Amino acid sequence: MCPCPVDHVNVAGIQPAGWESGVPDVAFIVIGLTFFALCVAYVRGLDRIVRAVEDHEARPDDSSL
Amino acid sequence: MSLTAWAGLVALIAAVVVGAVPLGRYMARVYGGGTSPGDRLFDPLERLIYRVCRIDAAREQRWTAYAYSVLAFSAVSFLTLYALQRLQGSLPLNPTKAPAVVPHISFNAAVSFMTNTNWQSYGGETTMSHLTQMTGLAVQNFASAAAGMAVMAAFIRGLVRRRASTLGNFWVDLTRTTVRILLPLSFVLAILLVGQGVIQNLNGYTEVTTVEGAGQSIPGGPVASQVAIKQLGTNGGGFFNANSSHPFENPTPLSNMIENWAILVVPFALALAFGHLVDDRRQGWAVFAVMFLVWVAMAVSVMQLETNGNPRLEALGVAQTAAADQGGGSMEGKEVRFGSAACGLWAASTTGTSNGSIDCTHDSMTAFGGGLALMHILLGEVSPGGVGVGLNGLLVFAILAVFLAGLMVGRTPEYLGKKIQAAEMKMVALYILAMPVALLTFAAASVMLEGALASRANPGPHGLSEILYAYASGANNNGSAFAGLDSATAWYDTTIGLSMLVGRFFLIMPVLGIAATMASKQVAPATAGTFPTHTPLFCGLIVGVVVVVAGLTFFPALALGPIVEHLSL
Repeated sequence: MCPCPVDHVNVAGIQPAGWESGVPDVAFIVIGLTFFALCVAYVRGLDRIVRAVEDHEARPDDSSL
Repeated sequence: MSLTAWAGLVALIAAVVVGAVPLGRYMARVYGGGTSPGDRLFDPLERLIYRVCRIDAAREQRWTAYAYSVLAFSAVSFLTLYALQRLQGSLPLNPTKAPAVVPHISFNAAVSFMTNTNWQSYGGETTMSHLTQMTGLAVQNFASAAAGMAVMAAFIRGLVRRRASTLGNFWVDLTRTTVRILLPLSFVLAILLVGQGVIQNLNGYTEVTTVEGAGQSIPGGPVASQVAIKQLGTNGGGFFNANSSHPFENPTPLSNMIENWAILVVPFALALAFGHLVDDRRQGWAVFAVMFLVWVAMAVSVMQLETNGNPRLEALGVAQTAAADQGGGSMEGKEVRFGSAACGLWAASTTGTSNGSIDCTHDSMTAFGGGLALMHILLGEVSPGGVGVGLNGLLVFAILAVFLAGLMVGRTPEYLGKKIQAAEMKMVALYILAMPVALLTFAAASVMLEGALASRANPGPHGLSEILYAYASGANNNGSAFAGLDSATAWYDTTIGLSMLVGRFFLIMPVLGIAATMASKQVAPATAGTFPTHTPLFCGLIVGVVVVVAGLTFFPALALGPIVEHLSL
């Protein structure tokens, strides 16, 4: 965080006129939860790589052949 | 640079080493299983938490379950913090009568504190109620730091275990980190800070009349307890808008030194804990050395640049040499009680640790001084990095360095006896690419949008640095700001929020994936051909890899920002 110059600070925590985008709460909650859903999909994708390694490592060592 | 500045740097280094050695040993015992100091005190408390939260502490998790636990905990944290800000106007402990925080700032702040970034597009004392500060932001300072350290513990277990399919239990790691490490350290530090004059009360505003006869509102609040964890957890979010340059957060040069120590000690101690956990202390000292080399190089450089001052001001006849009434150097945006050298030292510590606190205005630093602070963030927060995640990042770079060394000499790369193969390198690549993509995409969009450009305080290369720094800070979960950019807009709050999310979770997931593949492998016996990973040569190789990766990725942007600005002086 920064020590912002006073004229750049949202001193009241509420946007002055023209600031408010009108985006409702539900939009930001959806953005956040969608990201976490994306992360779950990402984990599943990575798990395909991981399982391939685990399966390979679980095979009996055939180096003596 | 003055003798006092050098003495301050040496004293800080000594204090960090003295603190990190026992703390590293202690943390290794906390994460290593078995008994650890304080069991009598902490065991009953932990058992109570497990019982209330219905956690089976003996049950280990596969990497996917560990990752889902991290995500679930973070999602609930995000929703709780968002709701708390939106409802604070109707909730108790609000002596300043702070109204509900607007949606996009609530989103940004919730993501920011949940991801351990602590970027703040609001003024703390004027925007947040005491309830939000205490039960929302301060709680997340603990929780986000503990989550990062838990992931680190899982990563190290992955490197150590053989033919294993589990990495530990996230809920147990989270609980033990909070109860045994962060809470005790924060308690002691808060007492020390109160002793230096940091305030700790539940007051609202105290109205006073100044010597000029004007009215002034003096804010109060539970500051020391929040400052302690914000530094130890490498969070950085200030109770006050002026953060650690505010006299109620950081009143004296000694408190400045103590807080700087608190920022560094846990990440450096974790490097040593790593050595204990892999049962080879040389590995821990090697990681420590890499972190230290980069950090100290940045610290000396930024301190030197800031104490040298600005040549443009020198030409105008502004005195920049040390004298009885000033510390010398570039004093614009600096606190007179700390001076330019302490500002440089603090900036190097915070930009290297993903700690967003500042004790001077980075926007006012010299072109190269500010540029180095930016560069330090862009290195990926590995020197020494945020608590837990910094060590994760450095170990990922170590794996990349081993791989590159293996390519150069034609041998199968190994790290700690485990073979580094295609699966690990795919996830290393995903780890390294995520942050620049989130950073540069949104920064590029911002310099093309008129509305976003209007937020700059300066035109030209300095304005580009302001935008670049904002997204670098977000995507690296740092949280500090150049300060010139008015980021409290829907565009910046949303896109910096998304940068923070990507910079946190798209790095944690591959790390846990690497941990899982490494855990499943058997250890290969060391031979004469094994590349040792505890030597100065390997340390130099990691430093080279870190610098080259960041240089190749960000040099064009840096050239257009701070480098052009310096050359135009």
